[in-house]
Order: sequence, then C-alpha cells, then structure tokens
Amino acid sequence: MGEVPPLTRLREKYRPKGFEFFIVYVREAHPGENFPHHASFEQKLAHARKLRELERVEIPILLDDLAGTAHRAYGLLPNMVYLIERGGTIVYKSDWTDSQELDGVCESLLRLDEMKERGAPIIRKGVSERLHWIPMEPAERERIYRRSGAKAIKDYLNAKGHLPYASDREIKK
Amino acid sequence: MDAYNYEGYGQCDIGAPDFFSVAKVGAPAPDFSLTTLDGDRVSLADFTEQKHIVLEFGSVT
Repeated sequence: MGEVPPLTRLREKYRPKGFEFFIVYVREAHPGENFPHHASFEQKLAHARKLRELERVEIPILLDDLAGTAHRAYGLLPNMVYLIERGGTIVYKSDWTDSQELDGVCESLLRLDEMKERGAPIIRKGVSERLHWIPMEPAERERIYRRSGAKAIKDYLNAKGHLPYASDREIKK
Repeated sequence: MDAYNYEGYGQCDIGAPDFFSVAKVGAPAPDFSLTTLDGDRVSLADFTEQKHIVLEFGSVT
C-alpha cells in the first residue's frame, strides 16, 4: 500500500470537512516468510492487525473477505485508491496512491460542496485523464520487502529481473 | 492452489479484471460488506449517505 503518514495527514485535513478515510485490507501483494499468503480469514485479520501496529495506522482498516470480493470489484491492484462522492458516485480512481494528487481531488470535491451551498446556478461536470509520477524511496521499499521476508524479494527479482528497491538508473544499466 | 491468494509475487491472476474496466469514474461505487478489526460488518452504503469516502487498498506486504 501507499505510505501511511501522508494519507494520515490527508485524513486529518479532510475528516472535519465531511470526508471519511478507510484502508481496505486485501491479499498480500508480496508474500514472504513472515507474512505468507492468506490461508484463512483469521490469518488475514492477524496480518491487518500487525499492519496497524507496525505502521501505527490510525485510519480505520476494513477487511475484505478471503476470496477478495471487494478487491475484485474495484480492480485487484495492490495500491489503488478511490474517492467516492457523498451519494456513492466514484469521482476519482488511481492505480497507485499519490497523496499529492489525492489532496487535489479532495479539494475539488470541497469546491463542489461550496458551489452547491451557495447555490451556484450552473455547475458543469468535467472528466479528466492524466499521468502522474510518484517518487519512491529505495530504503523505504527495501524495509517493506525485508519485513515480508527474503522470499518476497526473490519472487520479485524472478518476476521483474531486478530488485524491488533498485533505482531507475540501476535498472537501465 | 488459490489463484487469488497467490503464494508468491509473479503468479498472475487468470481472468483478472482490468483496473480501468471496472468501478469506473462517474459510475456508482460497488457496494461491499467488509469487516472491521473488531469484527463488525460494515457496508459502503453505511457511509456514503453522509460522507465523501476515500478508499485506499493495501496489505502489510
């Protein structure tokens, strides 16, 4: 999942303004010796509790079922994020959590609330599509993969041909 | 083998949906029934009546 501290800060910023944040706990993206794939719901629950403890997660964690029913319905990616407007319409989705971009889209929903409140006569709904870039700390990635276990690193290396915490420059060589 | 709860990264899903072909922007968010860490069942609809919702998906790995 994305890094917890930036998301926690966003929650603190927007919660008083009518937002609620949740982490949906899904399958292990990189199972390792310490956090193997889930064989039972109880095990999944234990891993989620461990996540809360290790990363000091304040955002409420909701567990998907063992078969991944909600995960599947939303597209199965490991670090995706959604913003859902009051009433239930999806207003934003991203394949990887980018807290800076998420901040911007939460802001735009606040503007909509303000427009509605002051009775703006015409509100035109637009749609955007864009690429965005998320810087990642190699040391942070290494910490997460090592926490899962050597198997998680080996499996990534086998699948991708480079270490999960290799820099872009190292990968290009 | 459990295709969803794969044992090692790289064991891909067969018939996995494409991220941008499900739960589209502008469409109703798929409702769900999930479990809190205290064991309570909650559904998305419990929250969307009153609040804007941010859902981040993830795991400890």
